[in-house]
Amino acid sequence: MIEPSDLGPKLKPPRGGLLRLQQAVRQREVRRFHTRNWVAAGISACLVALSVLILSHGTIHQRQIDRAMQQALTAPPQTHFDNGAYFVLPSHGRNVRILLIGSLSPAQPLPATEMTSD
Amino acid sequence: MALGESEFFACYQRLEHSLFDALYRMLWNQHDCQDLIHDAFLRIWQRRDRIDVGRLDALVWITALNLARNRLRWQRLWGTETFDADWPDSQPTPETVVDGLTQQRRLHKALRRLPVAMREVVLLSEFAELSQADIAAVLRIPAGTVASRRHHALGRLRLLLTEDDHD
Repeated sequence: MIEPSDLGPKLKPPRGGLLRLQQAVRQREVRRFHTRNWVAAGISACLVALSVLILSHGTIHQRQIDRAMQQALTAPPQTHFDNGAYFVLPSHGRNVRILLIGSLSPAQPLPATEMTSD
Repeated sequence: MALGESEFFACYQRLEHSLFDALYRMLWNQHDCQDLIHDAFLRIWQRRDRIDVGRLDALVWITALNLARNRLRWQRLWGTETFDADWPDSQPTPETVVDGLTQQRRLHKALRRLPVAMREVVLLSEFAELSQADIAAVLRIPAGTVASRRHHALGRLRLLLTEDDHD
């Protein structure tokens, strides 16, 4: 069989292997910590941006409706009398007609109604 | 249970010498060998949350051997295989350095001529001094196969070393 001397002596690894590994592990931990922070910051920023977008979208939509109503009410209405009175208000939708209906009787309220025609 | 730093570094200290002894006889370059051990441990550290601490030593061996096989394949592909003339003797004297270098060259040549499966068993049994059961776990082969491969490999290695003496 093989003699131990044929295989040569025991070898000694170069010094500093453990220290190098410890440093590499620490650096990785620091990098991992920073990466985690950046990811958390990124996700937070995205959530904030999304919230702002959703809220502002609601506000913008509401403003558009308000503006449309305002324009409709300030525009010179076409007046029709037939048992009561209704005003045809301007509408942007081709298939949408907005009518402001008033009753001749002062006791009855004046509801605003949207009517859709085909 | 996740792997802790103290267990991890203790494992490095426990295995460093045997890993170096065995892997040096695969790569024949001490810096490559040290880098490879370093890389193997870092890979283990990256997966520390999923590691069974009871199998840590075997995992280090498996990872290091896989890296060494890949590196050897790469070196063969690009023709960059090396033999480190500055071999890391633990107690060097001028005589042992010269004799040792000659001896290592003979061993290098003989080991290269062994089939890979046999070579790995020899490296793990004779240089890393792992038990038959440990080698079986690392190479994922039955313990009986380890014993027979070791027997045949040592016989073949002796023959190769003798042939080299006659050349």
